[in-house]
Amino acid sequence: MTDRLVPVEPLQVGASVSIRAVDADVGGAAAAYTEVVGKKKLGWFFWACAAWIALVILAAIFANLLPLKNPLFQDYNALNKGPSSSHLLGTDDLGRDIFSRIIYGARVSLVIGFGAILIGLAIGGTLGIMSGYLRGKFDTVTNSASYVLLAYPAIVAIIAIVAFWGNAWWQITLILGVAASPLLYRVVRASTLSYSTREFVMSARALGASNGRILVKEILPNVLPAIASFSLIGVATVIVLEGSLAFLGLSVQPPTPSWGNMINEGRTELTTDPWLVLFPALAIFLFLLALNFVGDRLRQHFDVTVGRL
Amino acid sequence: MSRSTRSAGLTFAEAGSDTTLLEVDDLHTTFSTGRGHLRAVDGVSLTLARSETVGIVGESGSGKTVLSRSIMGLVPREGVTRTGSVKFLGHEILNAPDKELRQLWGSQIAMVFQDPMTSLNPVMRIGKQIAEPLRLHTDMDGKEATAQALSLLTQVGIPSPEERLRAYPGQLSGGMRQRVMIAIALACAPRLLLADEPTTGLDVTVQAQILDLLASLQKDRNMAMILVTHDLGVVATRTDKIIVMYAGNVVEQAPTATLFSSMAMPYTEALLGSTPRIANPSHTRLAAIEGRPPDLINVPPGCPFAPRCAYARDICHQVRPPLVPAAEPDHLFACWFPLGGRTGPPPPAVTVGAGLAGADRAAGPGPGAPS
Amino acid sequence: MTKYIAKRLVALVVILFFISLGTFFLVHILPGDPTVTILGPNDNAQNRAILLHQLGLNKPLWDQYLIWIGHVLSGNLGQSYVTHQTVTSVIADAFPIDIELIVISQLIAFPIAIVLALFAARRPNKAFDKVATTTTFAGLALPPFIVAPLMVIVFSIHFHVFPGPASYVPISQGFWTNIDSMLLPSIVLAIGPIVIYYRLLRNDLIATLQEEFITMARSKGMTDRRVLLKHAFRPSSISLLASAGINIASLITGAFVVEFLLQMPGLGYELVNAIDQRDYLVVQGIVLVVAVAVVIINFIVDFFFSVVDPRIARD
Repeated sequence: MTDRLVPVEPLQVGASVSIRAVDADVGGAAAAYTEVVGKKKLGWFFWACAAWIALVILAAIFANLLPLKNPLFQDYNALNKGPSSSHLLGTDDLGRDIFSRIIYGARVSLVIGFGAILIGLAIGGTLGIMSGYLRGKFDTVTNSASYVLLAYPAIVAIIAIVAFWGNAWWQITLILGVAASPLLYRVVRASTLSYSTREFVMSARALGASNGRILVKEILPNVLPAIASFSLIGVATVIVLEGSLAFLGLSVQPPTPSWGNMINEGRTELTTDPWLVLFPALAIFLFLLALNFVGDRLRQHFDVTVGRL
Repeated sequence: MSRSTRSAGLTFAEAGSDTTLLEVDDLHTTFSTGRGHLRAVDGVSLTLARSETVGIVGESGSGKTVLSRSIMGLVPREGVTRTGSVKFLGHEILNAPDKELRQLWGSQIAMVFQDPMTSLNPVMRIGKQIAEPLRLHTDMDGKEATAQALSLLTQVGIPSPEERLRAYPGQLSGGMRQRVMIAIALACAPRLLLADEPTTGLDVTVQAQILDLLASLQKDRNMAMILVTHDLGVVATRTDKIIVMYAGNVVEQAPTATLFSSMAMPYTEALLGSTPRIANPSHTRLAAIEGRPPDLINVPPGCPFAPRCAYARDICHQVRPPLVPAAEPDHLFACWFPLGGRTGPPPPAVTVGAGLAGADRAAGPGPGAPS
Repeated sequence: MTKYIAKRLVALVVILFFISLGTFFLVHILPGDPTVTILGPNDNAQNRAILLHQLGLNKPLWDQYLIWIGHVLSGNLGQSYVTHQTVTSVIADAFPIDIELIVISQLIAFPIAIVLALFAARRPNKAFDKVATTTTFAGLALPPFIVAPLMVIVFSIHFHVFPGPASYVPISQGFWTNIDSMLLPSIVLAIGPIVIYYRLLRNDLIATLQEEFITMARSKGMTDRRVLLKHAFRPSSISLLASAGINIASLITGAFVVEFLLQMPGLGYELVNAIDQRDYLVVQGIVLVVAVAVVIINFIVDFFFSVVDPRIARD
């Protein structure tokens, strides 16, 4: 049976139900149905999405080497033109090529998205694995802290910090990364907890392995798949957050392109030149779809602990 | 209890106490799994009269639970095939449409499940769960059903039943939960009760109470019962006949007294030997049966018990023994070299090394069968 | 039982304390000067110093915090530096819009998600399930800032079904006009939750349907529909409501984004404005109120469910 509901521990307010939901999401309810026929195959769509993700990442990294127009160059002879042979996806109201802006814009979204999650994992993940393994006082303290942090509606803090501090890409990445830490902490902790009580860990300890060794060699490899899939979905969430920030005027500012601020800029011309919004929107949509799908499938695939038969 | 049963379209001949209630003929249940076809029940036949009790005994994995569910029809919709015939009061129910089965379930045939912790809905009150079959199959309204539920709780021996009606399963002990399960099963006075390991996991004293309860209720209501268990001790005094199963097959079948006095199959003997007895001195080592049950997907040729049998000989590994009658009445067994110095069926002529001939079903390679 | 409640309440107070602390220091640690906003960037340093003193902003931070908390606990959240409106009235005007938005969007989201999930769980991995799951999955890739502009183009401008942005009309001016102006934003806000609730409920239902007590229920002779609704849905719905309850934080986030996108005078709009103008007290007030609301709602939901759900162990 799935660990859908974990007994409530004392001194945990407000977020304990959410914790159950998160823990359940990590451990069970999301992947409960194991068919009699066998474990779910990944499927062709999975690989298509994975390929798309890889493609976008590569394009963003090697954008300089690709035959793209300069994303910042304003061609006053070609304002608000639709897709054509010289401008694959058209130009915006300052004459800049949309196609290249989308590819360069991917850089911003990707860096912020993956960067924030990496930071979140570095902070929250490390604390989480330590919490789940060592338990005891360390766990109680960090766990309670995470409850407090999670109870706080992060968006207001993010808005405030970004607005006051600055909206350079690295600042946003850092802020979102710190904001993501409590949730990643919980996920890693839940996953670690489910492994640290298993026999192979105890036997490793009985053989005299040090804590560090156990963490790295026994627990980490098992926890990694679950974390990886959750992280991919986390990246998607961060990209959405960045887009929302862009809409509030709080993200990376033009002329540097980001998917979010491109949509924001194109908002005013929706009726006349819809492709200004449509193409970046499509780019975001496809990428988010791929991220979510891959993350979700991985989660189902690796969740061996659940399922009858 | 007065009741009118809603059973449109199905009429049952009023049965005298000797009429065959249940007739199972060559029942096969196969699961399609990723690795192949799993033969959980591999040709089982049995009959049951109106107020008989039959015990089905076997290890875990012998197919006994699947058998009881297959008889009732409570199998998953996908991935399971059943062949053969199951006749309830003369009416074929094996591949009957869901609608028909649903009319039978709860009102004519009922099952007591193995683990009361997981078999009761944890978020629904006990009273409601007991009243459910009543509301489904009779004309009772809510109040009447609740009153009847109360009476049922008393009949199964639960103290302070009024309080228990509103309780949740989590608030009851294991023994009480099992009694509630029995109450639910008996709510509409079914003619056939299938009890699947009704006492596993309970204290020994509670076990006896539950079994006594079942026996007395059965007598009161003139109900037939199929008692599925791995424990020979449970069926020893409470059944009219016993069926011993192994790897999905019936390996021995006899009236209870006959089985214990003149068992024929080595497996039955081994089972008996592995049952703990109170009379034994403490720290008596249980004579566990060595080895494990066979793979039900790639069934090896020969007698399924041969690899673990102390008396196995060559032919046991090659040709499956048929189920044949013994000297005593209603006693069937499947063994080439039965116990007690009796003669088994004539083995077909086989030459070692010359491949297989004869009545073996899962034809595999010849000699070199697993031992 | 009372011990349990008391324990929880103590923890609640502790959390609220930390939240107020965090809110205050968050706002004050960041760079930015309200005097610039109030006096304009060209005024001289001396006036600034006077204003700073008047506003009490030159006291040590800890003192400022205590003063502020003292005021808050007596119901005074301060005044806007810019408009001189009391923070309380700013919030009282703006918050109800977000609340109404959230309520209506949930009224849309729940029924849709529940119906879809029930049908999908009945025949998992068959046609309906596959279609529903894939479609809702796409919903995850459609954040409000994409959906809102698109919906505006299609439904407001092209088809004239809904009024466009900046068309919010309070209830006092007409119930149905108000609902009318709320529909588009509510639908936009409902998309995310529909996906989440659907997936959660569908997976939960499928998991529940594997349990032994479902087989038992079937053995009583119940139709599949009845089993689904009366037995499987119960425990699953509890989990659904619970997670919906804690989802409130992200709902508020979403509401802020949506009302900002569609130019409604809600709390998100006020917040961004206040941040822009370094209107400290307004920012603090809004953030505090929202945070406290979220924490209290979480607390109530958590408490309610540990009482109501018979499966959860209590100390």
